Amino acid sequence: MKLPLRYNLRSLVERKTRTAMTILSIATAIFLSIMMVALSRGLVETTRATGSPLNVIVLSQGAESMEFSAIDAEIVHHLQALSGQPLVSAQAYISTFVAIGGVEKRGVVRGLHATTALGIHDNARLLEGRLPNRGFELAVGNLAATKLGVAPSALAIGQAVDFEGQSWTIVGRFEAPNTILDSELWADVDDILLATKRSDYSAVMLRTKDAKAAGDILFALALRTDIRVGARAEREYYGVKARAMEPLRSVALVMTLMLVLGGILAGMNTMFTSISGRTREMGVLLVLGYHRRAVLFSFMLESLAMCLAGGLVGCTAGLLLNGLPMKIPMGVFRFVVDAQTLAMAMALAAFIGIVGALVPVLRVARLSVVAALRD
Amino acid sequence: MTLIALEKISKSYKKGDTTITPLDGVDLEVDEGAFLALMGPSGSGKSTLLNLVAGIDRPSAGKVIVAGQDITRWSEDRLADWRTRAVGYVFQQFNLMPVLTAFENVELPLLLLPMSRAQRKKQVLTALELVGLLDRAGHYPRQLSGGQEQRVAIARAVATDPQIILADEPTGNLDRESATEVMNLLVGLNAELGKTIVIVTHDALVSAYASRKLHLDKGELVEASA
Repeated sequence: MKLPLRYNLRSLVERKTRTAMTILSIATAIFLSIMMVALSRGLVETTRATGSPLNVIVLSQGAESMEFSAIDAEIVHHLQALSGQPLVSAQAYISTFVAIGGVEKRGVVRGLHATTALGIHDNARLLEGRLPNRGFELAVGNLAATKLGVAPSALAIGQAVDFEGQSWTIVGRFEAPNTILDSELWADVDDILLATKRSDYSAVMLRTKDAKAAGDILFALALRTDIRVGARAEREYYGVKARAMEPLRSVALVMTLMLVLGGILAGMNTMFTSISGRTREMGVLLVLGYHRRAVLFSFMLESLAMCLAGGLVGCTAGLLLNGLPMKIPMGVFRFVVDAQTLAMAMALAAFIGIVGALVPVLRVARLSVVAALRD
Repeated sequence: MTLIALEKISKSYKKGDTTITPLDGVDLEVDEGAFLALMGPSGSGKSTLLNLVAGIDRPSAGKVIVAGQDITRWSEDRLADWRTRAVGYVFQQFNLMPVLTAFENVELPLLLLPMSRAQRKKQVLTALELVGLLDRAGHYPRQLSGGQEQRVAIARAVATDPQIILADEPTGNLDRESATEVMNLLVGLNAELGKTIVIVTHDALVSAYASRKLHLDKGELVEASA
């Protein structure tokens, strides 16, 4: 009882301008939805992925963030004396203006020790050169140039940049994919303290051998009344930062819903004109012996085909976003477009197709054959 | 033998506040193999009568009996299935699907019947040959003249080999020459293939092709001299 598909396909081709416009508007809605999801996932997941499950981060008591934390050298000695962890890294973390070729850009600099850096941050690896030692040296993250908005050549090995009244020479380049470390500049921690005229560190990272050891250290630190610090798992630290971005996710969701609504209205408008213009055709098909539901189903199919085509175009465009860097004050993130997002986008396109056709289809579904023929 | 029987058929519908009753207790019998022309002024209910026979409209009262079966209360789907095999319908405005070729238009009702692709193709080509348009099989309606379009529509109506052909003003949109071609075609279907034909027209020249003529006026059917 099915109508031949070529009837629907040719109907779409026959009205090519209208079909193309609808496909384009659906594609735009789908593309923007993908962008919203990719953006929020990129931000939240990159932040979350920065923390290692084996790391404990120690901040000064009450501090929520490394930027607002100050840990005295004496506490670092206490922490080094804690049993069970092979690696301790006292770090200085500053957000500062970096002058590159006379132009100042806001960048994020992490001071650490070359000997422990890669042991603590096991998601990072050296791409070329070496890690910075004393003498105002720098290693740059793979996305640091993007973060600072300069050409990668400006941050090549051998180049110099200025900040905190010092000239720093680039000696290496590292990557830490899908983490915010990727957009940082790394220097020796004592050089940072010297340049910033500080005596206290921002945080101390403790690398433990397993998750249980991490838990033990957190427990032990909580009991110590002589070391008054705020310690937490690094995962939790970045998890909190990720949660702080949840409102952005809500905005993304609301915008996506509005785009979908727009898509539905566009689809509905096209299908309304298309179906209303073919009421008589429906009447003729009924006279020929086609069942009403077969005719209506074929109209639905037509709308679905159009929206799925729009979905495919939107997904193809959306896929191009995958991995593209985007800049925010905290660092550089990459858009994340995965199979799950694309599947959801296609489901969304199908939903728009079905809902968009529903109203006009229900309208003609009630018409008598004679009324349809008279249309 | 009676093929179509209408028994005390009434049809009324509301238009605004007034009730219009174009058919009021009409009786009609059409024999198998007849060629009947239904005539009458606009709004007299000719087309309504034709639609009742086709099962695309329902009477307010009375019975429609076709080939011994009372189709009056059949469901829309049952009527549709029956119509595919039993009735071919020709419209004034041809009503071909603009996006389908002549071949595909004729094939449309055949897709509803269980048959092989080869058998279907054979029946389409036979129907197109019957109306003299075999060479236009691949043409779209917009590439055909009005007369040719109506001939394709007739091929579509006879493709499933129905017993009854119903035609509502089939020459209403055609010039005299094309109208003559179409009427000769219908006469051939009646005389050579034994199809029972009921045609609605207000054109006396067209009704002259029919073997029986009926006038419908003010809800009453009157036999006109043949």
